[in-house]
Amino acid sequence: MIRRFVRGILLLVTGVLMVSATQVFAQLTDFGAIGIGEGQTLELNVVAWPPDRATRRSAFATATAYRGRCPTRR
Amino acid sequence: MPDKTVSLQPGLSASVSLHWLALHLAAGQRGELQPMVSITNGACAATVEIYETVGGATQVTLPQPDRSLPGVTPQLGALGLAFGQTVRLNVVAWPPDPCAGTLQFLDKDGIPEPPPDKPVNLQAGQAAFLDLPAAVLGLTAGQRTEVQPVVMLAVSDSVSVCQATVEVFATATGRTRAVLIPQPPPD
Repeated sequence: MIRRFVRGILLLVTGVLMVSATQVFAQLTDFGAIGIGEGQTLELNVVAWPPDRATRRSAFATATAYRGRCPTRR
Repeated sequence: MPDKTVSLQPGLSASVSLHWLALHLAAGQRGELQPMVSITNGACAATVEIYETVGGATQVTLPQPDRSLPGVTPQLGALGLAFGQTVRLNVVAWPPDPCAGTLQFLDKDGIPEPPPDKPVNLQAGQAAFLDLPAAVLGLTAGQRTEVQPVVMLAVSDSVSVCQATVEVFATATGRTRAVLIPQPPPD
């Protein structure tokens, strides 16, 4: 009985984590790898959508530029 | 690396910049980056630009890419390479999936170019690239040739998602001159 209960809790936690991970990655825009050389600057722009102000919805974005071969993502 | 959190009303925009100097590289060296936007709430349209640090003139712009589809080979088409330039084929394993496959360059007739094929087996977030310098093809001043960057996904039981980009840069300075992103797969 206890073993079944623990297994149920573990399955529930795993499910929540998987759903959370899917949601995070679904909202990720990844440009792939892009390089810059001497004298260049890379700029990442975001515009809150839609551009018309009919929908008063805020967008919270974290814009990040990573260097090199990132072994992990946030 | 710069990490900026913004809260925008519809129609407003924000940017985050990274100068080459901030990478602390030696002269002529080049740094590869993975620009990313993670959206907490609402919706955003994202773009990437590369501009001259001095003067601010825009040199390269990239639209927001589509998410690579699992198990679908990126369609990159062909692009030109001239004397003094290098073409670089990048792949990134799009989280949360891995990317397993082979990178290669073909000439305009579909024949493999000199750099040997590069097998890649990347975990989510990892990247790899294959370079083809014009010098390897024996191009001299004024000469130009077309090449086809190709990513072949490995046949495997696991899902593979390879986000590909192709860059052309000046071999001497590492300055990016053009970026190609995958085209939608043909119907």
